[in-house]
Amino acid sequence: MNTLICLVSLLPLIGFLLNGLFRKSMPKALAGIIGSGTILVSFIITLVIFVQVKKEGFEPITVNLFPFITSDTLKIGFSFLIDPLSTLFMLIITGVGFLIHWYSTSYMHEESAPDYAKYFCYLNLFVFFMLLLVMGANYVILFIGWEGVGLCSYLLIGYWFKNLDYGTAAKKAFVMNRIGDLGFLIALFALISQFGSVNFDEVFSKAPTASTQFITCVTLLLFIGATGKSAQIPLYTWLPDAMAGPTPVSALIHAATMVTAGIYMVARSHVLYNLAPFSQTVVAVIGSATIILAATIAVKQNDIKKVLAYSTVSQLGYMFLGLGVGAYTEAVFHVMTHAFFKALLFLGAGSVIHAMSGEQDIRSMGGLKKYLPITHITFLLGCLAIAGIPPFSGFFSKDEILTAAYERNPVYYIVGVAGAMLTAFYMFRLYATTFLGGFRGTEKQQHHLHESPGAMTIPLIALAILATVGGFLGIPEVFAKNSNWLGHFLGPVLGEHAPEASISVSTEWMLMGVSTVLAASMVIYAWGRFSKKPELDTPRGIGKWMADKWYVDEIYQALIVRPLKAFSGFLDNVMEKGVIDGVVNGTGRLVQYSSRQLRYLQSGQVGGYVLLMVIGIIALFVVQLFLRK
Amino acid sequence: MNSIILSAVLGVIMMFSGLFLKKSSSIHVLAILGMILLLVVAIQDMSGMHYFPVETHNMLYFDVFGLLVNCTIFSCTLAYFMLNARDITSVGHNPGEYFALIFFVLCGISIATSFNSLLMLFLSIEIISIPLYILTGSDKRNLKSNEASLKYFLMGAFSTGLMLLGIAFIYGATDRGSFFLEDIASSRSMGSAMMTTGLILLLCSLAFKVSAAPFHFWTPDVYDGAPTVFTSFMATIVKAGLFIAFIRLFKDAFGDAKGVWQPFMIIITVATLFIGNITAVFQQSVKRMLAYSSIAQVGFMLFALLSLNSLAQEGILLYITVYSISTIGLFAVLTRMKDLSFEGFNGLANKEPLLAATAAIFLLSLAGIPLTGGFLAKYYMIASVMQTNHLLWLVIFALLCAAVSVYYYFRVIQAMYFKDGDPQSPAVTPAFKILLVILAGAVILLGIAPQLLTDRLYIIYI
Amino acid sequence: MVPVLLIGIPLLGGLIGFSLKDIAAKGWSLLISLLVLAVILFGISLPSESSSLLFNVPWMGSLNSHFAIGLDGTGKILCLLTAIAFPVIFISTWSETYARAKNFYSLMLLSLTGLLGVFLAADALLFYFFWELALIPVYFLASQWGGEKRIAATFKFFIYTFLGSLMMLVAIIYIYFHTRDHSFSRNSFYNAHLLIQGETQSWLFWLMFVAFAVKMPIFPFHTWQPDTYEQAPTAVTMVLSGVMVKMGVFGVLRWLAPVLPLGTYLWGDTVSTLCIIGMIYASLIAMRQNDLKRLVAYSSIAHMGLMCLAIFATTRAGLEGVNIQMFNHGINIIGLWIIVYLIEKQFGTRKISELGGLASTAPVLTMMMVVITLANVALPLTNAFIGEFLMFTGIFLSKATSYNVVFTVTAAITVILSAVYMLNMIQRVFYGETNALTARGIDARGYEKWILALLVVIILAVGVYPQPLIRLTEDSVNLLLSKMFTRPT
Repeated sequence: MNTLICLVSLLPLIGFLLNGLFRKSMPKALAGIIGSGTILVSFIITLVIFVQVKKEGFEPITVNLFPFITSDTLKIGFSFLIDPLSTLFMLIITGVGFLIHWYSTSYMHEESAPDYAKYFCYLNLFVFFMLLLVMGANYVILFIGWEGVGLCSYLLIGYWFKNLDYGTAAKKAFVMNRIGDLGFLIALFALISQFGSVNFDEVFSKAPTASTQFITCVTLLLFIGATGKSAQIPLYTWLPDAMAGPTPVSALIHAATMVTAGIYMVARSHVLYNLAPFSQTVVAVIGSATIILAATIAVKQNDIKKVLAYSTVSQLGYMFLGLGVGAYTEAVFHVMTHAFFKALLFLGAGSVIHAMSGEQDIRSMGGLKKYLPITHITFLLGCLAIAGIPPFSGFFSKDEILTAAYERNPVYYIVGVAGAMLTAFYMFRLYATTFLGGFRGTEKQQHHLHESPGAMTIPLIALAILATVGGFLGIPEVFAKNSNWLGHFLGPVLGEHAPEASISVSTEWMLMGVSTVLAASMVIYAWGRFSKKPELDTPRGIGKWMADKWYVDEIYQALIVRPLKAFSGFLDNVMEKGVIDGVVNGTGRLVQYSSRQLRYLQSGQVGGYVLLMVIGIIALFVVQLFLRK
Repeated sequence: MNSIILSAVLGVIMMFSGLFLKKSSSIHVLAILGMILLLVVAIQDMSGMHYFPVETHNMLYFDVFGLLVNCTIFSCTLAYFMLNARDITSVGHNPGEYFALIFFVLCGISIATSFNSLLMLFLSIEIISIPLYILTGSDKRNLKSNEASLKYFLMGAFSTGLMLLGIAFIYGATDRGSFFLEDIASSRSMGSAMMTTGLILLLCSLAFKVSAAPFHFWTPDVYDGAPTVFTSFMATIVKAGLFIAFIRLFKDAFGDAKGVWQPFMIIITVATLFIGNITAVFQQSVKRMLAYSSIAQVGFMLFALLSLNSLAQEGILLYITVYSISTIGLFAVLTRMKDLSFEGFNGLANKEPLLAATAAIFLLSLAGIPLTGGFLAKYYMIASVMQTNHLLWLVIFALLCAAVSVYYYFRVIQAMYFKDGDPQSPAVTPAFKILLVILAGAVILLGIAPQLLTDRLYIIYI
Repeated sequence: MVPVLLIGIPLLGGLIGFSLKDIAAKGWSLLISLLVLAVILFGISLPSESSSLLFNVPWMGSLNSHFAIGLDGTGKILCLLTAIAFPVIFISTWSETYARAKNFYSLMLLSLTGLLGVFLAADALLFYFFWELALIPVYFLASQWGGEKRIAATFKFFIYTFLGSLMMLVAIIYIYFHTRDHSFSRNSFYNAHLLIQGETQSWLFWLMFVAFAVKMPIFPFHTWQPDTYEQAPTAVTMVLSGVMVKMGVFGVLRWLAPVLPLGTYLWGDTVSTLCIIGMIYASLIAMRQNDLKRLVAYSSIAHMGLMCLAIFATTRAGLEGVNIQMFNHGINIIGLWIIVYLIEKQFGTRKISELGGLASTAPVLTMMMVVITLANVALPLTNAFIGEFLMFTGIFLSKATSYNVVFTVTAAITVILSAVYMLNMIQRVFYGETNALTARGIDARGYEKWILALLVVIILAVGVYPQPLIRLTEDSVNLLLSKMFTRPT
């Protein structure tokens, strides 16, 4: 078992090394096979582990590889923890990961062989770090994965490094994440200072002994980390730019897995969050704020990937809302379903872009339905799933979160539903503008239009199936007793969540109905509106604000970046060159100057000398007189 | 006693050597031989072989320190002769006389290191000074040389006057009118106005002789004007001898009355350090820079006078030795140079690597960089002061000045090593090079193992 | 015996080197440095209580100073760094041909002697000697083979350091007179503080600290560094920044904190504040630099500030962090210099604005640079992460100050800033399209590639399995903790 567990994380690393070291001589086919093969194998192994884990009376396994950092009483081991939560994430990562690797083998085919190998070696490295993140048995290993995936995202966003804007986007992503990581890091130190350990079990078992303020601080700091990694207010702005990377990367890293690391981390630390109600409120509020903000922006975007990016941000908002209201299982459930349909949507978008030979603006698409049948169907399924139309996966996960939110505070629910409506709207705006109506692109593009090869469509189909049926893994209690398999599975880790305990079944039906009806109506409205005449003109008024993303980036520029630049300029030119170095060189000059002055004593006149000597003698006598007194 | 008499005799011999030795080369060979003899005798003197049993009626008093200083000074002079003999002879027509004068100065020095009475002190100072006046002006055709000699003489006369006056006061202040140091030390009127006045006057005149500020003004002009060879002699050997006299006087006569004169000493030290170092910074000629540096170095030597303890004794011995060797070496290099400005040294390292290397070692030693004797010499001075006087501010001030001194010493190094140029310097003989290397070696050796010298102070001689 | 060899081999090697032919000098010095490496590896393999790690003979009798040298935890780490650094430097700059090469390499070996001596000395006066001995050759190297403004820049550096060390000398002498047995030996110094008043310690502290602060350098004593790094030949810059700045940290660890614990404690907060100001200050300035050398110089100032800060935290984690971070920083910055050197050698410029797009012409070089950069910004699984993690933990846990949280948070801001300026540099130098200058660039060649690979391996090895390195420092850290003060709880 232990060896299996190690293998899961080790295989992608091996893939990385192989592709990395021999990238020069690596033929494309081989690179692709190594790249996706390793992930496939580790997915299979994960399945084996999963079978073990879901047996009744399974006890979490901790695998200690070697002592990582040992200083006095602080003992940080390089160790993995296998329990339902981590296993679930491992499944998602390796499973969805494999599909996307497979998809990439065809999508990245234009790349030269070394770059192709490089791409896969980065991708494998990412999977390795992501697995490290979810498998780690303590916060430090989690943090290693945490920063590692950040690094891979940096490398992959900047994969086409020749384009400086991509580089800038990559840098922005890394730095924004770094800001979040700082919070995480300080939380780590706090934990060490309080509990003398960062192991999950120790920390959680000792947590009740700590003061509420302390737990609140730590949880908030951790949450700052989460906002960075999972693109929440205020650190979300990097994610849309991150779309600079290849589309499969956006699917894997910036939709399915990495961005959900924050949710994983918070869910993992739910013991702490349960002890800090204030932090929970913060999480919920930030989450719901993000839902709305991102959704409103998504409504006016015309770049197919940008829309999906903002929808990701807002979906992540749902997950945090869930976490904030203590519905951890539901949040994780949504992570899973979201992984399915968002990966699907991104890969679909990739397939579209592929067909449109690089074009990403939906205004110059339209009517792709007949050119890309498979892509179209799967994409539609994805849209339905994200829009929360029963019985697609999105419906179950989202509504469970909404129900839980309602219990905590109806306002959350209202926000959630509003978000859901917006989601439905912009998703079908996207769908309609892209696939319905007539083609608006150039002749050349139209001539080039074609359905993507199997290596791309098969993953699409697979994901589409998952996005459709995935929801049945966690059917709410109201449909059928004990049908919420996921709830039972994750129960040992996250604690059972029983909605009917507080609110009546009828209320729950009602809530579900309301959100579904509203979402469905938005779907129909958007479908009807944009399939006929898509909005091609640049928006005005409030619409322009939304299209320009509420100018958040500009505000950050004005408030933080520019002042910092100016300040550093001041330090460099005034402080450094002027003041400090001025003083240093000044002393030197002072000596020179006084030397030049003293020289004049040396007149060369004997008379002058004698006079000075006499003055000297007299001076001594005077001193003597004073001393006598 | 050996060295006093022999040096005088050698002086006379050298004076007449000109009559029966025509070739100047043979004259300086003779001088060197005489010097070696003098050195040998001085060493034997230490080990108890006194060839001239003269009854000095306690006017002179020989102790290990004095004798040891004689030996070191003589060995420095020997090195000086060997390095510069040719230059000495080439100064004027009658080289014999120069050597004679030098031997007379040495005689004066050996009295200065062993006097026990103010009369002997006065005598020694005059015996040292008068030949120097002549040596300074020895380059007759050179106006600067004559002017310097005259300046030196005038101001020297002035300081002599001060000294006489001082001696008179002190004589009067002693209980039963005495010139003996122990009488002065034991006199009841120590600290009285009269005694103090005398003391101050003596202090000033000696300060003048060792060129401590504010009585140093003659130094730059005289050193600059005098022929370089003799500058080197004056700046090192003579200064060392005079300084020993200075110490001897204040240790034996006024050692117990430190409180009275230490304030002046501190003032003089600070002034000397400050003026010496700061003024050296601006100089454009290496020779003149060295004149000021010799003043600056005195500032450090004065520390020994502030703390008259055993560390100081070892220290000053080390200091005068190392300082003399380094300065003699530097001047030897200097005499080979046509252009005495800093620029004159540009690129010497490429043309004459060995010359440059040794010069660099001497400069590092003067700057007080570890692994050279110069560092330990300064170290001893600082330590001795910190041990007895706790004058921490003075120490720190001195070290700041030392840092300044690095500036002007390193200007030469920079010129030699880091700047390009074609320095005018005649080829130097292998013997000269070897000597320089030996001197440099000595400087380093004393920087690593000072006990080779200082331990001699504690060996008991029969 | 080991320490004697460590000092003797390079000293003799250097002296002999002066008499060699210019061509032979290069190989000779490499051989010597490899010998030193072998010796230090042997020394590390020995048990720490082994008697052959110590050597002690009376030296200057009248001063009661001994020629006492010994190899202990911190010493091992730094000697190892030094011994690794020099061969790496020699190899990476192998293609360089210096005028009067034999002098160059001999001086390098002499500075190696001085450095090792500093790390080995167990006698204060001896320490001072080596302290200067390390400085002089480097001064000559920098101002003889440096850039056009070299003389002024390096002389400023020299005067600055020299002044600092003079102040240290005063303190050493003062403490010497307050030791029971009037001796310079390390033990006597470590017990001297019992006889020195609090207020005396507090000014003695500054006399000593100035010397170390200038070396590290700590804000505001740092202005010599960028100029010197810029002007010195890269090989010398590597020595300066890779090894020599560690002398400052080492000095505090070995000769200040345990000797004047009270003074160290009293001034802890002040110094820490200076460190933090310096870290942020340097990072901000680094963001604007257009010269690669200056950029690295300022980033180095920021990193050294953190190390100094961690010392004053007076915690095990912090001190262990400092110890291994000295090693890591040395490795990383030498790696950076090598790449800067390769770039400058190829394109004849260090101006970031004139470069760009190297990634397309020199993929291997870029890969190495990225890894080293990530190490420099302390990404997990690189060596620097271990060091910084331990140091920050130490600062956070510090009992010596009541501002530990504030210090940690403010200091940790540099974690972000470093990412900003390093990635900026990466992007502007390596990413984007090639320009006229960089289009004809070539990748790192054979031995250059391998030497960089070696460094990368060290970076990752230490980053993944740091435990051996941490354990190496234990004895020194224990000693320190037994001497240093913390706030009475």
